Amino acid sequence: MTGWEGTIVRAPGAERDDDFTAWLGRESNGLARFALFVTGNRDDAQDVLQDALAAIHPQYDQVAARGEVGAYARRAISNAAVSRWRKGRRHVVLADVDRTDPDHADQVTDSVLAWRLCADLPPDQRAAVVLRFYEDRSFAEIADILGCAEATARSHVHRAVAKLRTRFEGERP
Amino acid sequence: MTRDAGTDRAEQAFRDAFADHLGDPLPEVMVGQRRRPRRPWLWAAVAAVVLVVVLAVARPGTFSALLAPAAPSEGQATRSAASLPSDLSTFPVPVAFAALPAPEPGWRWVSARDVAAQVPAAWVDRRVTDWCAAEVPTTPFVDTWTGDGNPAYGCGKALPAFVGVHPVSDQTSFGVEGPGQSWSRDMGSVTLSVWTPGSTDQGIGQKILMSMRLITEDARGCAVQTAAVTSQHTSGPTPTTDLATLTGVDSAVLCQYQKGTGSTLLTSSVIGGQKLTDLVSALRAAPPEGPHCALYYLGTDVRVLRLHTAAGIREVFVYPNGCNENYLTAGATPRELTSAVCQALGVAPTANGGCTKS
Repeated sequence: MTGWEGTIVRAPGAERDDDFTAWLGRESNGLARFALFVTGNRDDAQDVLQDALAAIHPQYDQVAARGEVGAYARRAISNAAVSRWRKGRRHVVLADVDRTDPDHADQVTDSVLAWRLCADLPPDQRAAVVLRFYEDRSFAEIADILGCAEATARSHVHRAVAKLRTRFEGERP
Repeated sequence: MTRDAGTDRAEQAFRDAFADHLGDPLPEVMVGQRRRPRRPWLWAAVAAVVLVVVLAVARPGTFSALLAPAAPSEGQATRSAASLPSDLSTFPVPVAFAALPAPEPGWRWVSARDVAAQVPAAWVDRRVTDWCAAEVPTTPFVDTWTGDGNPAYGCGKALPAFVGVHPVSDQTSFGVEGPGQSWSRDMGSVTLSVWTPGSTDQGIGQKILMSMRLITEDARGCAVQTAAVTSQHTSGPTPTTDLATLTGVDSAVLCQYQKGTGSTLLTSSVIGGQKLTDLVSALRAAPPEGPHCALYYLGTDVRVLRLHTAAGIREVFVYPNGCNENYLTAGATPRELTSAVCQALGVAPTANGGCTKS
């Protein structure tokens, strides 16, 4: 019977390990930030990030040769987030929830409302929002990363924006 | 307030929200390390399982008795989760199917998508297309179906022990008559489910689940993930192959992928005999493809044809259901996905232009 203690990911060649490690060294903060914004909390971000890196590592050379590692990594993170969401893990970690004193509701800013809305968006829609408004990606790039049609990418973003506009109206009639 | 002004305000709010949270602590990037435990009780559960296994080794015959779930009442199937939670499976070393360790005596490895597991060698491969059909297997089997759908195993019939697999995003249900136990475990892109009737050693279910391993390629050499699935590339596989002069193909394997969540290998098949001859002829005759539409949207059905030639393995990427111009490529020049190629590959025509060109 095989065991579960093989916890170290090893590439077949040291050179690839070096390349992967070097790439990760350059990109880890960006990927971690993307994972954090897509999931909304640090625990889930760490989970999806590790799932994504585990998926990328075995085929790093092939993807890197095409110059697509960054996009591929973000898609893997998005897919992992979607997968977790579909499995019903849509819990919110209390420590990460923005707290606003109800007595000072008039101090809720647009950005706080936007952040709160992100927590309610499906992960693919949320990923599109992060790519659009945090990473300033074009819709074609978002479609490429998410593996969908450009029209779908536009729809994700526009729906999120429309929801936020509705919340603006609800908060400040 | 105008609509444009509202939209600008909303867009700016999103930008500000992310800027506000740039100082939030980032998740740790732990490559090659065990995921940190988020629920310490899981480790206690693992320790308990390890203890049970140790006891079983020390006292042969106790394994089943200690791990088996409570016997359900007559005529009522019950279900329990596997004893090893999926959280612990994050970083097993993925290996090629061919590099898996030798199975235990009397067992064999099987794989589906990106996961392999050991099953009793006596359990035969069966494709159960209709669980409600009059004839269902009467001896233990491995259901070879790897597609999508929410499987409803059993259809109220009594069944022998079996293993089934489906995407983790789908839900499964057991409608098996008679006492027994079902087990399931998530890993990679799949959920593996096992049914063990009351007459079967209940330890088998857990043993199968505990043997699960992530793999990098299946038994036919198909990588579980491929760059052919990543979109917006026009270069195709490397090294490139001139299909017009293709010769010396000894055998071929067709790897089928499903682009989307997981984007992993769906299934694979060997093409040989006359079909291989027809395929090579069709590939040689496929004319260059004209301008095709959105390069960044290649459809959800992605196939990689691996041609075993004297010069080594050469790949052809096949996109049978893109937006309106489907094609194949063995290099920089896309070629038409002709009906002859589709027929040789067993790809059904699609409504939007794929596989309809003669």
